[in-house]
Amino acid sequence: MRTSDYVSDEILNAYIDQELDEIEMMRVQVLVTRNPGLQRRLHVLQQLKIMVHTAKPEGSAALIPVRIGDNKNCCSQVAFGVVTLMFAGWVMWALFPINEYTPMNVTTARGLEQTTIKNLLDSALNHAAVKVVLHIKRSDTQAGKILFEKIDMLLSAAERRQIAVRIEVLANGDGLNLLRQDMSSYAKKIHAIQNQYDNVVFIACGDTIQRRNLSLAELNLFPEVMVVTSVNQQIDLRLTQGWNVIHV
Amino acid sequence: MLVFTRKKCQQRIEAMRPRLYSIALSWSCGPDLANELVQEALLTALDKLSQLRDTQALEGWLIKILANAHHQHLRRIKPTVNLDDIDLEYNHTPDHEVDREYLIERVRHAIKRLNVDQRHVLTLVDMEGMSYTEVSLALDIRIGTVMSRLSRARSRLRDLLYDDLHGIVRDIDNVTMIREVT
Repeated sequence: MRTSDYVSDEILNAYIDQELDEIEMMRVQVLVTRNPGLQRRLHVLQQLKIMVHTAKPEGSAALIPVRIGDNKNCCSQVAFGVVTLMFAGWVMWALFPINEYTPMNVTTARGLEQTTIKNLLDSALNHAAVKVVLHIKRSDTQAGKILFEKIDMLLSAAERRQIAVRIEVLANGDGLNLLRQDMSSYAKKIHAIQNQYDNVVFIACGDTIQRRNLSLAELNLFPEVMVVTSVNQQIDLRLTQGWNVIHV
Repeated sequence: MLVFTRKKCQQRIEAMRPRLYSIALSWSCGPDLANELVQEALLTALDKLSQLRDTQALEGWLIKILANAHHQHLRRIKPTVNLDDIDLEYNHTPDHEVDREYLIERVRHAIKRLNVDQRHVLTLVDMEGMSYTEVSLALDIRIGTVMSRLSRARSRLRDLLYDDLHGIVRDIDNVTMIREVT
């Protein structure tokens, strides 16, 4: 045997574990073929590998669910939670910057004004009720989300201040889809609002329905939805009656 | 989004429990200790989840935490008996020598005699089928260290299981002489 034929244990182990590159693998193969001593070493290592593999213990882990609350050291989790909430808040703020103090365009009988929900409610202190039309003519997810956020905000802010509020949601164009049972993803939300509040009305546009040449049966509107001849006419009417119109 | 990721990670961590338990068992921990170490590792993982930068590396990261838990456990306990002084009651009758279960017990006993670092590497490679790279990442050691620990582990195992490997090992002794010459 030539001493150059010597293969270290590390290399031989890597060979049986198939961890060598192709060139080194071939070199070892050639050496093993012509070296009986190497063959025996290799055989022993292979036997050992098989024996160890066969000796793998079997058993099932105890079912002890690990949850965040199980952790003894909760400080980091609290910190993590705070950071997460801050981040989530920031994301919500960035994506949906709507709150009582957020400026928005509102159409009134005087024309287009920039105001906030807070101002709307404040201005109504001497009135019987704050009356708001939410006009929607889009049906994309973002529009639907904004619409229902505004409804929620108006209702909760008015409730908090003990101010009466009336809301009409007027839908025309694609906004009609939000009120269709077969197309809207807000069924539960609409039902919940209708069950809890009698001061919110959802209204579909007759003109849009007519233009789409659809029957009411085909439209499959939510049972709570009313239909007016024309949303645009309804808006004009409401403006003359002192309502505030917010276009979503 | 963070909440979602954390929840997903938590699910993946919990899903790793059987594998970690199996690994802990292979490190010669009994069922009770294995459960204890796995539980400790999972809690530590949740605690340090924010430190995990690559969620794809979760599996290796958990094994590393488990290995640390095992190390800590071994440091806590002070063995009163040297494992090397113990041997299984070994009855050299042909019936026992061919008994597979008995051989498995001898192998497990031999693995238990390895030092903990060698044991970790050997079991991860041979029982868990992990590559050297995976073991290297999981235990945070170099691949060269994986190779040398594995080599020493198998070498020690070969000595411990001398009788079980029959006459093959005797032939090896002649070969290792050459190594000393080179």
